[in-house]
Parts: sequence; C-alpha cells; structure tokens
Amino acid sequence: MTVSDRPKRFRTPEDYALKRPVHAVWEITLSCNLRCVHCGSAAGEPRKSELSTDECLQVVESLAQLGTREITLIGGESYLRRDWTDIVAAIKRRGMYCAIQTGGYGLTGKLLDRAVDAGLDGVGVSIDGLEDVHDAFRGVPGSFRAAARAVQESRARNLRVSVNTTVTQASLHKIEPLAKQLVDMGVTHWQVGLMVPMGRGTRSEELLLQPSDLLTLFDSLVNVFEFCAQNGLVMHCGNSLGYFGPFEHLWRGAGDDQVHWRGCSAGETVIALESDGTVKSCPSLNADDHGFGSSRDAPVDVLWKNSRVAEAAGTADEDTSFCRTCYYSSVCDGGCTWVTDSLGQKSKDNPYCHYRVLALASEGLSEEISLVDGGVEGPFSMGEFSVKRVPIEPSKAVIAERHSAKLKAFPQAGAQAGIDAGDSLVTCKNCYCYVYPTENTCPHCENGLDAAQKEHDTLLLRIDELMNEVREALDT
Amino acid sequence: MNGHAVWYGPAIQEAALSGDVGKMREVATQVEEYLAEAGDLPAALELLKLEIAKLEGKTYHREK
Ligand code: SF4
Repeated sequence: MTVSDRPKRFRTPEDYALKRPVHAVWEITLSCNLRCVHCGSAAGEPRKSELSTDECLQVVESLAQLGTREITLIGGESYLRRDWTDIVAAIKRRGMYCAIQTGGYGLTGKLLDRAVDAGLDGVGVSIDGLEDVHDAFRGVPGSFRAAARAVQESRARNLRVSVNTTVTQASLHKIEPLAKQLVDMGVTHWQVGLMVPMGRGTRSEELLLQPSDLLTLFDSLVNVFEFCAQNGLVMHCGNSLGYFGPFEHLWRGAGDDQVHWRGCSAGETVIALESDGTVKSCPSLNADDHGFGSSRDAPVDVLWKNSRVAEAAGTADEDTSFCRTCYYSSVCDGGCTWVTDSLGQKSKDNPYCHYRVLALASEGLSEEISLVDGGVEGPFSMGEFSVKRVPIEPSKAVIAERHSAKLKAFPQAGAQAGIDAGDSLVTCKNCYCYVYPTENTCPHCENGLDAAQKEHDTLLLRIDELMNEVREALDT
Repeated sequence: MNGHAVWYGPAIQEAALSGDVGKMREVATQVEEYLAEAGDLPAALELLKLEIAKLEGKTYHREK
C-alpha cells in the first residue's frame, strides 16, 4: 500500500508528532427522524442555536487549515439540514474525504444524487441487527428496510459504503447471521462496537452487555471475521471493543497485526463538533468534560491549538485499579474514554476489556455492571453505575479457558518500563498476544519470541515456495 | 498498513485486507483459480493447502 492509496484516516508518525486532527466527526444537526434507544446524543429535535451555513463554511476552512483529511458528517441525521450538500461541497473543494453516518431513513435516491453532485465520497449506514432487532432498537418500524435501501442506493451511485453495528443483548447471539446478510447486501466494510450507556442509552440497562459477555461476543466475532475475510467484507472493531488478548491482531488492521489499539485518540488526532459550534475531543464525549469552546467565539484551529495545554494537564491519574496496573497500561490507558466516562470510571478503569475478562476468569471471577441512577436524560448525559466482582458463570469460564489456552500468565505493569507509549507493540507469534518490543520471552505464553517469529517466517516462506511450485507446474 | 486508523464515525471505507489474513486470502483465491483451471493437480497444491490451514489455525487460534 503506497502513501497515496492509504486510507485518509490512517495516521502517520508526523500526525502524532504534530497532533494533527486527521479525522473530524461533525454533528451538523441534532434533528433526527429515528428514536434509537442507545442514542448518546438523545437526538430528535435540532439544538436551539445550530450554526448557520456561513458559520459551517468557516468551520470547513479552519479544519482544512488544521490538516484534517477526512470529515464525517453526523447528526441526528445530517441530511435533515437543508444546506448539507453545500457543506459537503465545501469539504470537497478543500480536498478532504467526506462521508456521512446515517440511519438511512428517508435517504432517498434523489437526496443521494444531490450529495454525489456535491462530491460525497462515502456513506456509513447503521444496522444494528437483523430486521426485528434493528427496528426495535431504532424505534421506528421499517427502519431496517430503509437502511438496506440506503446501502443499495449508495452502492448504485458508486459511493463507498460501510455499515456500523452496535452490539447489545438483543444482537449478541445473532452476529453471524447479520454478517451473512451484510455480505448478501454487498457491504464491503463493517465496524462493530458496543452499546455504551449514554444519553438515551442510560434508560436501557437490559440491553447492555456484561463484561463477561465479551467472551461470547469475541468467540463469535473470530468466526465472523474469518467468514467476512472469505467473502470480501473487511470487519473492524470500533474503539469501544477490545483490548489486547489473543484476538486483538484481528480487530483493527484488516489483518495486519502491526495495527493495534494505541489508547484513546480523543483530542489527539481526532476532533469533533456539535451543531451549535461546540468543539470537543470526541464525537461521543460530553462537552462539559471534553469541550474546547465554541467556533462562534474563536476559529476552530485556534481552539484546537489552545486545547493541547488543557488535555495534557488533565491526564495524570495514578491509582491501583486493574487498568493502571495492567501490563498494557502505558499503551492502552484503559481503552475507550467514552466507555469509562459513561460508567463513571473517571480514572479510566475499564471493565469492558477481553484481556481483563480473561485475567479475572483465571481467578474464577468476572465483573457485573448495574445501573444505580440514570440521571437526567439529555444529549451526552451520563448515569451512575456500580461495578462489582462476582464468581464467573461456568459456561463463560469454559470459553475463557479456550481463549486463554496458550496463556500461562497475565503479567502486571512494569515490564515495559522505559518504553515510549508511542512505540508499537509486536505480536508473539505463538499466542498472538502483544508484547513490548524489548521483551525476549513472551510474558503471556512464556515462549521465546524470536523462535516463534522464525517458525512463523518459515511457514510464510514455505507458502511462497509452494505457491511458486504450483504456478510452475501449471505453466508447463 | 503503514499507519494507524482512528475508529470514529463510519467504518473505514478504504482499507483492504492485509497482513497474514490478506496473504491467506490471496493464496486461497489463487488456489481456487488453479483448481478451476487445472485438470491434473500438482502435488504441491495439496501441501500448499495444508500450510495455509496451519497459518489459518494460528491466526484464528484453532491449533490442536
Ligand atoms: S485491563 Fe485496562 S489497560 Fe489493560 S488492556 Fe484492558 S482496558 Fe487496557
């Protein structure tokens, strides 16, 4: 893959060094025609004072000046703004990739034609399960068919099409048939994430997965990943799903194990805006805690540059929680901030982690999350949750044992002393867990790393040789 | 993949399979093509299928 054909969203070392907001996710209106039960922004009505067209065009200019390469327009439903294609056109004039994320309800061919004329590159459609699950989740009958139609109409116009799926208790056991349906629909890129209890989502505790459900989910996702790879569908896990453990190498790099979770990018290489001009570090986070100010008070590039100081000052939080003492803490930093914030884990201790679930299972334990107080529902509102340790269910223990069959230990933080958190980890080619590049022996499976790598390289070489032999035999 | 992705908003829409998984798919596709073409199968093809199964087993944790 050359630099020019690399996805715009992929970050280079320079992006990290310059803290460039490579990807902007921009809520251009909070108006929405669906009533999704998990909606973090509790969308429906537009915000009281949404940006005017001119103010939006100024935002586009500022983002271009900051070096943003991709802008995703979200809502609510972005196309409920009458001037949404003017915004798309402005983004394209500045040479940035432009996609929308949509429920697809009411996204007609006519609307798409206008968007294509404006230069829209891609459409991400949210599909959260098979028809019954999706319609119940989205709160409007017919929304699955509308989403499927949006996929079809977008493909017919040669737009790049992806699907996002939020996994809940209702879809946990139905991911495999969903994958099949997406393949049948001709979808090529699919992102799977967890339901996170924010906004309207604080009202649906019964849909939330428990941390030990990650065992069931990952068990299924490994098969799904393989099925997708065989059928031309590139599957990724979203930020809320992870982290490390024996399957991480599959989830983020489309098969390339050099790509792994590297900690939350909010405010680092991603920037977000709300429809009233509030600038924040992540589209899913609450602006009270993660906002930088309003584009009405200062240009976005100025707010972004000033925000660097505030972000750096707010990250020194030392404690003895599981995440702080975890082997991966310096790279992972407790996974997705949206998840930890929503659960009230201000010190970024994240129970939704496969590695942590396996480590606790090895002691016969799991964690249970319960809602204590849902709080007042509104855009990005948060409830109060308790997390307690309980004995693991026998059926889950069996899966955990299978997932950690090669693992002998769950080491703690310390081995990575002196490692720069920006460094990439490497995979142990025996157990496929990630390790710090300075290790000689895998601290998880206790195998020699060099020997496992050599064996792996020999296998790859052998495949190449056999491939050549086959080619020659067929050519003669 | 020469870089790292950020997973906000829609799924990344431009990435293609790469790494071991990409390699397995590439080889498997070629094997299928050969199978369709060739009447007389070279012995190396059977061995190739075995080695690919080994790589798949490692990648997806299906080793015995
Ligand atoms: S336990 Fe916490 S720090 Fe460790 S891998 Fe999981 S989320 Fe990351």
